[in-house]
Amino acid sequence: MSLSPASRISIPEKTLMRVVDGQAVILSLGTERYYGLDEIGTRIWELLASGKTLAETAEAMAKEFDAPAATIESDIRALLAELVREGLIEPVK
Amino acid sequence: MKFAAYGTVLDSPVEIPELLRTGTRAEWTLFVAPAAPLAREGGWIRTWRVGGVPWLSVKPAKRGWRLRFHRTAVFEVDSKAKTIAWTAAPGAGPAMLRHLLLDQVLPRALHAPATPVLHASAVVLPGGVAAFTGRTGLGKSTLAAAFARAGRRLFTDDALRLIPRAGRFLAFPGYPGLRLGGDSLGILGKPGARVTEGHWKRRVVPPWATRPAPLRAVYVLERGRRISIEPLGGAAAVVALFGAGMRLGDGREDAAAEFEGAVRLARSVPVRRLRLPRGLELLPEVVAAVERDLART
Repeated sequence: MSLSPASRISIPEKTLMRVVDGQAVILSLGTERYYGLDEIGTRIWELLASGKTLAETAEAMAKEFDAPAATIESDIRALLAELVREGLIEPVK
Repeated sequence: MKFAAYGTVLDSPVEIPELLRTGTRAEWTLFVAPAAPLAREGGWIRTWRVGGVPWLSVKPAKRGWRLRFHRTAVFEVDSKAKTIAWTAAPGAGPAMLRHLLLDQVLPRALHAPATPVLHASAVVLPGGVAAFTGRTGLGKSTLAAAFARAGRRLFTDDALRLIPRAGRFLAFPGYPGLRLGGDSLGILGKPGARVTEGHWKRRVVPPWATRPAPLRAVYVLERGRRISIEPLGGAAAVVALFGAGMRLGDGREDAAAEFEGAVRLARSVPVRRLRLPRGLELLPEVVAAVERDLART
């Protein structure tokens, strides 16, 4: 999967996400598997789900967590790759 | 005859001595067919096994679900009409049939995603009910007995019915009776009658709650080397609560609603992982640890 800084994601209808105790709980109706994200992963999901691009998400996270944007972007790409692999999100060109 | 259980009323043509009689209008109706050999059937969507031998199979029926307790009885639950019809195999004892009705069929019939029934024991502590869930064999009933020995009132042995009320969940008591076997019987020092003819467990009745009470916490039991209690949040809590649901099917047929129900419950009540080592002699410490934890909550 190749993502550019301008990439966005879409969440298929078969993916349900709710936040419990600050952590995302995700159910894939397709595979009937549950997933959990920690607080940072949850924030990344929320930003991307709101329509932000990968670059915008990395910028927002860098400010919120006072961390280098390049490191954040690398973490976001890794998370996105896993979420796409599990069928929970889809990249939008 | 009308009997009360799990916050509902069952109209039954047969005596159910485990339950209290009531004059309240019945919500569910039980029909009992004459005993007959269980016909061969297929189409079961799920089968639970004990020791590798089929024990319970379930499949959708016209207006609900059909449950087959192999070699013992078939129950058909009509969720819309709120009826339960049972057909017993010849030789199936009345105590066994009542045990299956009260401990397996009725809790599953009452379960709904928004008003779940958890496979849990529960006790009354200051401020409400503490529930204990986890896989079979970890000692939910034994732990409840330890609370009874410490002077606490018991709430349910196997099935905990919950209804949302004002942002929390109200819990309804199960019918009186703990099923204990082996060394656990010594905790309360009362032998009790066998659960069913030939069953290895006996039913003991310590002081029991009679009124609904708010659910204060859910403890998910796990085996551990030492006693510990830690918060279980997020996905782990939701998965644990989903797994504890006593459903007629396996949850797939209504996965989205079951997910929302588990999320709602996880958001409304603390969920904890309670690790406990083997050893009845450690139970007073477990009881004390839970009481301290709940007092801090």
